[in-house]
Amino acid sequence: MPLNIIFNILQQGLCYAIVALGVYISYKILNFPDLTVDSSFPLGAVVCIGLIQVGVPFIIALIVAFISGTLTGFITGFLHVKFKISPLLSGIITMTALLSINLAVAQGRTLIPYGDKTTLFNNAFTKLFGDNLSLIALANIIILLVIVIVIKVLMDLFFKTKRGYMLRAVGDNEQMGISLGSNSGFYKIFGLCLANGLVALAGAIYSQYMNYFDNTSGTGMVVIALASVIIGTAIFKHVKFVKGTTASIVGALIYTAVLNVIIALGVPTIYLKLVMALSFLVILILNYYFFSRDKKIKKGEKHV
Amino acid sequence: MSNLLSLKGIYKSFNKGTIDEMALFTDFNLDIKEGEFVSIVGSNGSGKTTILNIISGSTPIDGGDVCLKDENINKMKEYLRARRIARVYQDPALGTSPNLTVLENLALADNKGHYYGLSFAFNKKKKAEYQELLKSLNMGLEDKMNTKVKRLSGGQRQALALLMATMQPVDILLLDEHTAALDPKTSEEIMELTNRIIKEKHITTLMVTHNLRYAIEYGNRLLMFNQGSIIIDKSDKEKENINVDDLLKTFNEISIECGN
Ligand SMILES: Nc1ncnc2c1ncn2[C@@H]1O[C@H](COP(=O)(O)OP(=O)(O)O)[C@@H](O)[C@H]1O
Ligand SMILES: [Mg+2]
Repeated sequence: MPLNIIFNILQQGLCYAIVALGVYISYKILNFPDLTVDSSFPLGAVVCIGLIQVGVPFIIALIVAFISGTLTGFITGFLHVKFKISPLLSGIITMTALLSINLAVAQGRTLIPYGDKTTLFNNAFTKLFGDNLSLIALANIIILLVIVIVIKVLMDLFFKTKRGYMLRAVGDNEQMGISLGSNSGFYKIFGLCLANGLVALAGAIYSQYMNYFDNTSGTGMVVIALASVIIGTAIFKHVKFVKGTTASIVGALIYTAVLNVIIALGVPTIYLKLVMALSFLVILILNYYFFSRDKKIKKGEKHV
Repeated sequence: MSNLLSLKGIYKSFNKGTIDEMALFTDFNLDIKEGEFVSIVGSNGSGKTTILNIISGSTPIDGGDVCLKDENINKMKEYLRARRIARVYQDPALGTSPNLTVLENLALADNKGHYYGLSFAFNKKKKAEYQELLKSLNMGLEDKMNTKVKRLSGGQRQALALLMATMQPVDILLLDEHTAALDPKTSEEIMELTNRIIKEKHITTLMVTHNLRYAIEYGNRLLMFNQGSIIIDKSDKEKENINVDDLLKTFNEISIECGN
């Protein structure tokens, strides 16, 4: 495989890995299929580029992008917890509303370039690598890898705390959270905030990597993230020492690789979403036949 | 002695405003004293589970008052009541977190009523403590600290649920047919364990059971429910004089009255 494709896969895959880490929280931990993702991803991007364009340092812009994502998670969670709206519908409502919000923040523009503003991928560190494209890609990969590992380690630590345990328990068995004297609704909202914060952060980072904001960049992000999480957890299902976070990252890299290889084989890019959906389908079917030990889905167990 | 728990003039209907409307409780009263171990029997649909739901706050009432230690808790949310009212369900899946390990479940339960913050959920010392606790259950759980709870047997799960419910001090323990889903031998073991924990910790307990023998053998007060009313209420000496045949006879009489 040409080196540049591998570099692309790693860069894109590591961006998607951050989305997958977020969706790992909503989908795997909270058992909440959250469609907000498709809009919180571009929201993070547009917030980030908006701030950078008015001169805010990119680190601050990334942090604010994360916060903007937590707000979308809060709305979806609040709709679900307060008004008992199903996870899917709560997500759809927030996701749809955000399409307008994103455009409003972008002042109607659907594509906004960063130009030569200082970003994660265009700064004193990356300049050290000169204009050799492979070296620049390498620098980007190092930056992304550091970010992904830091997020992963923080998440792993969090899941060892009392709050992390409670979040997992509420997602696993809501009644149990209540029995332990905890407001399970609060924990669901909290988890969705974290999840969408990460997704928005990923959107912001991805836009910096592409060096422009694209209003449609979030379309299909739910599929990418779910596929990543499902591939990862299926592969490492019987390997105890591999954590769900690591599995999600690996899953994101694999799924990105699959998509890129298929496109590299000559499938026109207009079919990208079709390829995404079909490969997701194949993954679900493979998961069903090869990775589930007992194929009958028992009562109370999740349907993939 | 003052009442630990009292239900005063409880009204509860289901499916209000439909043709299926059913008034289950009309002016239901019950006082539970501190330290009582009450067993509750009654035919299916007589309202045993509903009364536990009303106490724990998972079912709202239409009228009346629920008081715990002289405090009216009508408006208290279920999760807040849970800090003082522990519960073990018939379904072993409800009382524990299936995808968490035994150790993780215990660590969570050990913190009940406290803040779930960003400190580590347990340490070495705690882990050793939990191991000892599990050993004392005699259910083989001490070797399964790192096993996901869903991989345990029903008996082991109920034993764990019992332990978790009573780890932190509570005002009252509610048991709803918590041995009904188990085979007879395991059911017996869990019942013995229940009795031991209740005795050791002096926990005021309401135990709904389908097993008339358990109702007679265990506890110091016995209630029989029928169609939302208490038709037998015997304590101490009076309770000791009841036998299974008497209970069965009453059971059959009410069944005939109801026309089944
Ligand atoms: N959520 C509910 N909706 C409608 N009817 C209910 C509900 N919960 C209980 N009931 C009815 O109330 C009656 C008492 O139920 P329950 O308290 O579960 O009885 P028990 O535990 O004694 O078998 C039954 O007739 C049942 O159908
Ligand atoms: Mg019942």
